[in-house]
Amino acid sequence: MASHVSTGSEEGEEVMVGQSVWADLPSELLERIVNTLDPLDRVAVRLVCASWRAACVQEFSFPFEIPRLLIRRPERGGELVFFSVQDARILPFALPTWLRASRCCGHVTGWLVMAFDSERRIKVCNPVLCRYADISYPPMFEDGPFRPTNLPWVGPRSAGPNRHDDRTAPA
Amino acid sequence: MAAPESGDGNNGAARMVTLISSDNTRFEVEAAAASLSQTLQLTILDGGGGGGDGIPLPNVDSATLSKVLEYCIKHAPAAANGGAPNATAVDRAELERFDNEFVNIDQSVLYSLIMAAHNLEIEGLQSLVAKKVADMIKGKSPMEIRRTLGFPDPTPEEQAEMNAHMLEYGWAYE
Repeated sequence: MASHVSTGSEEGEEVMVGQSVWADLPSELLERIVNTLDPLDRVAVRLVCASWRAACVQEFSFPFEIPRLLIRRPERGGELVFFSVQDARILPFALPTWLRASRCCGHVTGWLVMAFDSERRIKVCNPVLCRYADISYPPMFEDGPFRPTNLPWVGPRSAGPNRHDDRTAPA
Repeated sequence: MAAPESGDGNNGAARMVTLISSDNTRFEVEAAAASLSQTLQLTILDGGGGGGDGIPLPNVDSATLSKVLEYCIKHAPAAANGGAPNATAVDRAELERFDNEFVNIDQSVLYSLIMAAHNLEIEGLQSLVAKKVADMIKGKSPMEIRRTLGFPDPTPEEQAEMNAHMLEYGWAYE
């Protein structure tokens, strides 16, 4: 066993006021912790404080294991949420409000390809990292708004009387 | 004190080294145990830490160092067997039980421990504490994580920032 050969003076612990010592955890150690976490927990870690947010810049995939569905909830203003097929429940992770006007037309390694049909705009989005980028148009399209008439998933601003998104929440 | 061994750090059963904490407490410990620290291993291989010299550790206080050494002493025999391929299931179960018990401590001590393990480059201890902290975080909301790890209640500005980020991330707690 380790034995005390001689004892020096005990120093008083410095008390941190206003912040937890964990806020200053070296990013290497934070990464070590985060690496063993599920993606959803990783998102929570990012939200704990500004310094953790700055330290957790590593990319990771979606917060939920597949199979999962991206579904629209008309009763909640067309909110886009994830649905776990395995657990048969809606997961507590929605896409940002401004993405409601779009539909998902593909995904690659944690990035969603979201189409804003009414504006003829396509964005790639990583909601876990909060990173978004526009994809520029191929040159073959004419300018001007594209107005589909019977696509039920098109965002609430475009016209169409029988659209799915116009359903209002029950009172 | 036994004669220093030429020392690959593998079986220094008899060789002792002295470590000195930031608050000047001296710890005498087997070289094999101290060698779990990559940092100390180099010094020890160079023949340091023996006799009256001691190796000063200005970043580690005595309470933390004693805890770190408790870990090293327990894990030294298995480490000496090179990951203990011939360890019995009983030995492994005992180490696991020790590890679980070992990290069952206050979060502030866990912090000192992981920082010390980081400074001293003790791989196993870093992983063990990181795993424990991850377990404490699992399934919690950002606010719950803050409370668990002793963050103070957020100031109104911090709260507003957190809310904004939660919104941005689409994070919803029902």
